[in-house]
Amino acid sequence: MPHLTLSHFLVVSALLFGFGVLAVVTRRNAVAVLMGIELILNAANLNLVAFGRYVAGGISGQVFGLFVIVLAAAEAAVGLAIILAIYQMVRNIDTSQATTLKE
Amino acid sequence: MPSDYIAVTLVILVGTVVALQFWALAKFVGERRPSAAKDIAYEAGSDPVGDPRGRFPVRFYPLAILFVVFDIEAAFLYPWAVDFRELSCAGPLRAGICATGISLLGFGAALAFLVVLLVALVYAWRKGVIGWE
Amino acid sequence: MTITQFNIASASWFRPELALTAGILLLFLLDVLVRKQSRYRVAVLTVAALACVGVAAALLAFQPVESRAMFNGMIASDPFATFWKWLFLGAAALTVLIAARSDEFPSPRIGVFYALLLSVVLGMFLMATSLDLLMLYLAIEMVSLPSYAIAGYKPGDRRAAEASLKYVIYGGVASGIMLFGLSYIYGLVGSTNLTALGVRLESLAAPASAGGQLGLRVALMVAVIFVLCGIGYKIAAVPWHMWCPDVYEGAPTPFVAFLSVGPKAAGFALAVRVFYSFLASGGGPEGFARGLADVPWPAVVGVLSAVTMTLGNLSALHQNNLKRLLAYSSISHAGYALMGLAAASQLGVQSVMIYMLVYLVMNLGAFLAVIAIAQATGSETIADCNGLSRRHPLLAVTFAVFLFSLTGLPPLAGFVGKWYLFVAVLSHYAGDGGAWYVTLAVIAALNTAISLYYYVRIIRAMFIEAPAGELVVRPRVSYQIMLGTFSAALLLFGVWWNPLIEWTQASLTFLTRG
Repeated sequence: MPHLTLSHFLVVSALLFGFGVLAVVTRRNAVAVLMGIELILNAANLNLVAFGRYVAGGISGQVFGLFVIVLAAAEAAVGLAIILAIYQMVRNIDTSQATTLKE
Repeated sequence: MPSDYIAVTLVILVGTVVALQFWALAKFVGERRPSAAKDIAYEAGSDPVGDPRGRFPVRFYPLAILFVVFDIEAAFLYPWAVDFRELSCAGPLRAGICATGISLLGFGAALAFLVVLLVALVYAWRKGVIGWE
Repeated sequence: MTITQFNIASASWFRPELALTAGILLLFLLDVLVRKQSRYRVAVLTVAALACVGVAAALLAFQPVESRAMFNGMIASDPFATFWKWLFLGAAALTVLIAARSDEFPSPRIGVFYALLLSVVLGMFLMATSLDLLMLYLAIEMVSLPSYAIAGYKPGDRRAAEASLKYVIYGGVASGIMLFGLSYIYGLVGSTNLTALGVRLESLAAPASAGGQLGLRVALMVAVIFVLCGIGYKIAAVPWHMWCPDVYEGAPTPFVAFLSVGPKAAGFALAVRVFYSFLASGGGPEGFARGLADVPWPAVVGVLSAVTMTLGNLSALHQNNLKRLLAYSSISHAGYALMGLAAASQLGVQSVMIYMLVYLVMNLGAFLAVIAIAQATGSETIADCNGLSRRHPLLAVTFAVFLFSLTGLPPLAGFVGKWYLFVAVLSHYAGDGGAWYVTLAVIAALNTAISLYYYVRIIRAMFIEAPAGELVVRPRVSYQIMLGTFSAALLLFGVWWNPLIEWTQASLTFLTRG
């Protein structure tokens, strides 16, 4: 069984990023889109920690990661609160239905 | 080292085999006498009330969101705790011992952080997010 | 000096930000402590918000002006940052004054608006000063998160809820992609500090002729494009502009007025610092022009600029809703200001600063006029302007001044702003790629002509169309004063622009290398 190298982490994070973008582009459910955004953030986080371990050394990558975790939670909280507000108003969180604003 | 993972693989294999074995024994050897009492969810307990897939009151959601935010803020206290000795020393630490006297910076920084959280908590509380009614 | 002592020393250059933080906390507390039924509620909260801005401004004024890196190289204090801070505080104070007399903020909910607004201002301060990838990302999110909440501020309004949903999704994706790009840059260089980045990227991204590796250059290029995505979203440049018209239409108008000038200006401040420190091999605007990783970045920015202004203007042509029209107009103005970045020179940076300063006054003024019209008519379409010159001459004339200034006609300050952008771009006409710069200037000139068409549509409605029915238009007194002051300022600085030049000239020093 080979050692884990930086490329293993980079491949996983690139996949996570791809899935995240895919979820954002294809899913209509607003909660699923938010989950896609979380995937993107976690992909970046994996990169940061892996680079911190293999390239930079020190703790700057981990500290960056810590801040991103907290920001991801804050963003999810704001996003969910907005989705909740919409749901209470229109009983639907399908983003393709959000078309009141048009040219 | 690859050899480090052999033990892990063994545990997984043994666990799977044991689980499968008990399932197979019960399936092929055991006797079955179905009855109405055995089909309910908690055979020896109280009768289930309501549908588990039913909706939660929407009041849970603001509370849950609030919990996520406050919960994750605690993450910031870990690096602070690790560095607390260094932050509390007015001069440089020598071999973990502070010879120059105590600085309140470490304590004050965390206190300021917690005050910010406290204001947020007071705000949420007064806005009625925390209480049920 | 230990890091601890360094941080304590840094705090004395961080007083305006600390004052803002204290003010935000105070406003949140006041919001729940002042009784909802109190007659003085709006007054108390407005005074508190203005006091907070005032204290921050006073601390900023008494702060020694010198260039230094603070908090272990996380943020900078330099004349460049101070210029933007003044601009942000000005925008915040004017927005508070506008919001206090607006119908869109019911008194029980105005406190939280002020608190969130000041949080955005704090985030913009950090955007203009960040010297570190981590700080840069945190600052952008600090601006974005409260903005999402304010966009969906109107209770029970479906349009507002939709606007904030779109905002949070576009914003989340853009900042996520930017973060992914930042993580690669961190990996390529091994540091998050912009200062270190500039030095190390140079050797890393050497062209093939100097023995550089193709793989590294490609990775770096992708990462920088991802980062551009986040910045482009913040300044609403094409192709990251899709959120802009919807959010502008759905969000409360006083906040839209702020959004169209504040975060956009902060985005430009951040872009200048990022482009001219780590994208510049050799540091400074001139280094940016030489390009990194074999990519002519100024040309990339120039193309973005041309596309942004053209698409913004063409989309604005057939808008009937004033807020949507101004949204597309603000997209095209981001395109004009990008010309200054594409010029990649000291003059270019200075022209962006002048333009953002002038744009602040004229765009806030235009939105204020829209608010005053909407208060009288209940909606905000071009048809609502019909016959405005007969109903309220002051409102009609000042609105016309703002629109002509946005077009860039002399003798208004908008002309001065645009003039310097053109000068910055055209000063390259004899150098390398001079033809491209001339093309960019021609496109910008054509766009100015296009924009005249839709601005004049509004002016035509106000001065030529007959008013529909009897309607009394009487803007609030504070609005009339502000409308008058804004137009007077635009006229004054349209003929006497020396102070603008001197101030921006003096603010041109910024830390690219700590």
